[in-house]
Amino acid sequence: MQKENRFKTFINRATGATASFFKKAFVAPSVTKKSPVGAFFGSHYTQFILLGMVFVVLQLMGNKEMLPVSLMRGFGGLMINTIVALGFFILLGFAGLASLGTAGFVGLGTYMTGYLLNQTSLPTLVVLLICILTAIVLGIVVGFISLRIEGMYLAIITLCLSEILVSLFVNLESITNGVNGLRVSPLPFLFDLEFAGFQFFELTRENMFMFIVVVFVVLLILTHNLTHSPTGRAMLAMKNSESAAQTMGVSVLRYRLLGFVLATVFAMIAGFLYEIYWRTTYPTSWGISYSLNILAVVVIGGTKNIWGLILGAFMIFGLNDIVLKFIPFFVENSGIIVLLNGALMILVVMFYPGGISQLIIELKYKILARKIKKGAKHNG
Amino acid sequence: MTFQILLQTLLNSLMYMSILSLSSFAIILIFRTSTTTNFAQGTISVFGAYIVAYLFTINHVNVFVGLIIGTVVSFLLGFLIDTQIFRRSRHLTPVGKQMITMGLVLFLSGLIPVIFGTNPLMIPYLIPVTQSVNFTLFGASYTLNGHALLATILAVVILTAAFLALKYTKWGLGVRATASSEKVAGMMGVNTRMITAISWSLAGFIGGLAAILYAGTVGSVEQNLMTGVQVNGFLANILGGFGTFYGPIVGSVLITFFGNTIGYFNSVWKDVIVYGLILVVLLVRPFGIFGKKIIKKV
Amino acid sequence: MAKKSVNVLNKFVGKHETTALPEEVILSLDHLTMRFGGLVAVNDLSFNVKRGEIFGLIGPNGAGKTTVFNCITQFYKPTSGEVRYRGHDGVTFRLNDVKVHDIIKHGIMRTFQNVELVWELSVLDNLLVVGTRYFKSGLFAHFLHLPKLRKEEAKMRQKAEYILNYLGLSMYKDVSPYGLPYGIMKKIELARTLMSDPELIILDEPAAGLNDAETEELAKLIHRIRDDFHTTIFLVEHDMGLVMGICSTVCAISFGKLLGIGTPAEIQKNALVKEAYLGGD
Repeated sequence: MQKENRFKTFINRATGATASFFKKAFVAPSVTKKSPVGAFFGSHYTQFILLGMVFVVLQLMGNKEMLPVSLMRGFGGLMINTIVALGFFILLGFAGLASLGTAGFVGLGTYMTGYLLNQTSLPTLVVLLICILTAIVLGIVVGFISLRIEGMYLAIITLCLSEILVSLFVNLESITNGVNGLRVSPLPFLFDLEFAGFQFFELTRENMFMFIVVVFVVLLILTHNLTHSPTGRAMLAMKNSESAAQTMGVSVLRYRLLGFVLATVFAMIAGFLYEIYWRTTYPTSWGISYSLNILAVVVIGGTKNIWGLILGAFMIFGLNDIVLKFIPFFVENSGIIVLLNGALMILVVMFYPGGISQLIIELKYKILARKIKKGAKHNG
Repeated sequence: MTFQILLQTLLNSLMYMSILSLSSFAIILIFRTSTTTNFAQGTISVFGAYIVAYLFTINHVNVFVGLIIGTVVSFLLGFLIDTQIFRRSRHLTPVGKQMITMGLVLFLSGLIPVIFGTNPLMIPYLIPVTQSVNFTLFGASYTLNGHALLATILAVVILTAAFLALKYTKWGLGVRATASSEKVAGMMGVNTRMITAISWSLAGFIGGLAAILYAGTVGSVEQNLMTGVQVNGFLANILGGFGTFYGPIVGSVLITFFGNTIGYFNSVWKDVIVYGLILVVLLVRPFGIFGKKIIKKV
Repeated sequence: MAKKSVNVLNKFVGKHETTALPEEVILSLDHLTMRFGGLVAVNDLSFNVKRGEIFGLIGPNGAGKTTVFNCITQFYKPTSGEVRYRGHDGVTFRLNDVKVHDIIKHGIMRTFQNVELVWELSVLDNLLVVGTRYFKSGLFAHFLHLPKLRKEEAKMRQKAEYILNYLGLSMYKDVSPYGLPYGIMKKIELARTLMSDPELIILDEPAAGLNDAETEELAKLIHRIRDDFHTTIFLVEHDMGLVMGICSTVCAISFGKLLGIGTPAEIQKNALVKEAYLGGD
């Protein structure tokens, strides 16, 4: 018991020290204090940055061949998929809008990136910017459609849009190379000012991984901030009760558009990262099953907590690529992984509808309750 | 486009129209009785098709016997899913139910290679292709193969029976009541649990039949057999509207027929055009062609 | 023709000014009619609400009270007729032209008969949503949690806590409204209306589901709010006791048509009202 206490105090102090360091530097505390336990775990920024640092360390180990290369690929893929899920997290969890079109937009991101990098001499970051701008426009278009078409109809219409995009990928062969996939070559540079005569930070898989970590952590922080801001609250109000939201001055048009814009932007950023990291994209990757997997991540992970989402992404995408791939039994009987994944999903929804987020929140409260009890014991 | 080509296109469409109508009906049946969008419709159907193919290829069982066994299995599968999974769950939101069907897709997709192996299994036409119906009309000759004719007949018979049952039987009344409002129907003495169980079982049966018929035209059964049909099934549902039982059937007919007609002129962009048209229709009629809007009282 | 183009221009510029109302009138309905297909829910209804009073709209079930309500707050767009509103700044607006989420800008807040609260937010956060449009910090600040945002949030929070305290709801501030007693939820809705410093609060059947003691308490509360927050209160109600007890003016309608308007005493004596409610003597 004593050892446990000392360990906990140590973690407390270490987290606290790290947290206050970052707080003083540039980090702000959570704006809405949902519970004092939030302080116990340190600032959320710290958590996300720590996660990023873990990935960086893993990649460095991978570079030195202390870890298998395929493991690192798993983490890279996981981060990219989590970014897509983050966008969907905002759309479904906060704006309350269903969309099955995510896959098409990620695919569009990959193809636009591939095409622009291969056919033009635009700097890489400009390509990213173009993807983001396109995403904003498309998000606005879908947002307007969502004002006219609702619920299940909207979900399937977005599926329609996704399928239209896939059809374009397959058939516009001169641009997309059709079913053979679009490959990026040569490797792009991150900072690419050819006209000024210098390029550096060639985006090999190893370097690209680092860039992905940076984008990943930044987006985690931005999403966390947004969902704990007046915008996040307005979205939840719109999701729970459109009438109440309108009475309170929340414009349904504005926040629906915002929801779709953000989801599409995240999707296309992920597409950009995907195309450069994996160097090739195929039309078949962007069908309905990818969209359904993203939906699964958000439902399993829960919509209350970003860590829940990260764990959810791990369960759907990461478990296979990071853990099970290395266990021979599962490699031989790959059907069993899928079967277990499915069974797990069903069980979570049946008995734990709030997803992993709910689990995390309940855990936090249990720890808080214990702390209070202990505190009462000491004082009382 | 000449009348002959139009009519022949219609005849060629009958096969797909039949199985799409059956699949769409299964989807709307489940949707209206338990507010669930069944993403597993395709996979459950494929399971039935696998049974038939397996029995045919490995045990050399006659296809028609296999058909009966396959559809019964699909029926039972639907029944089990509703009673063992949905009934035992804590309070479920519609999204939650969707997720369960998604989990089912994964579960069954993983189960299929374990039971049936990973290679596609052969399945033949129910009626050999050589036996087709040929006739002439106004001097032009048309053909319809036996398998497609059988499929059409089966679809018409089953769907007609279903609609008659919906209109004239006690079960049908219960279904319509539950579709209108599950809570109220329950309070009025409708055994909603039985209704959903029967609906799921029927949907399984109908889906299985559709998959077996479709597999016959493809020649073999593999996991993704019904994916395209399922997507089109959902499209037929939104086109026709979720508000009625006949909407999706009409949607299925329209999608198949217009799809094939457009495909005749431009087969590359056929899908894009059809999806685009569906989008346009939805913008004009946001609840489907036959849909009804429900105004929420504030 | 000229008036039409002025109206269009005004809409473009965001103004919905119209013929001025006298200072003592805050809300005016002019020949308001609402049709749903063939059904006429509100039929040529006209009345004025005086600034600072407690005004009651009564009528038997199906009389169209909630429809009137929704027409004023723009959840329905009236088929014909005008709803005019005069803020304390003296400018008269035509509410018909105002979008439903802009109604709050004019200082009008409403409650809902079927309590509409945000289950996924705490009670305090529910109130904070009202403040959304008062935040000067934009999306950028939200993404980065800039100090400007944090300061604004703190101020909003203070205000919300004050209001919750005023209504005796402080103990609920960090929990979700889900599962709380019905009476408490209605009070939370009331708290929400106060967040925007409203000039006109419209209450939709505030006594619904409350017993006699609770209704007593509600009557006292409404008076307090009117006096402490300097607002006009318009209530749509079915409970005669509450209406006759606290309203200075009562308007009775039936089948969407006006039966009578006057003080509670006058309305109680009104033959048409008695017939509509009690089916004749």
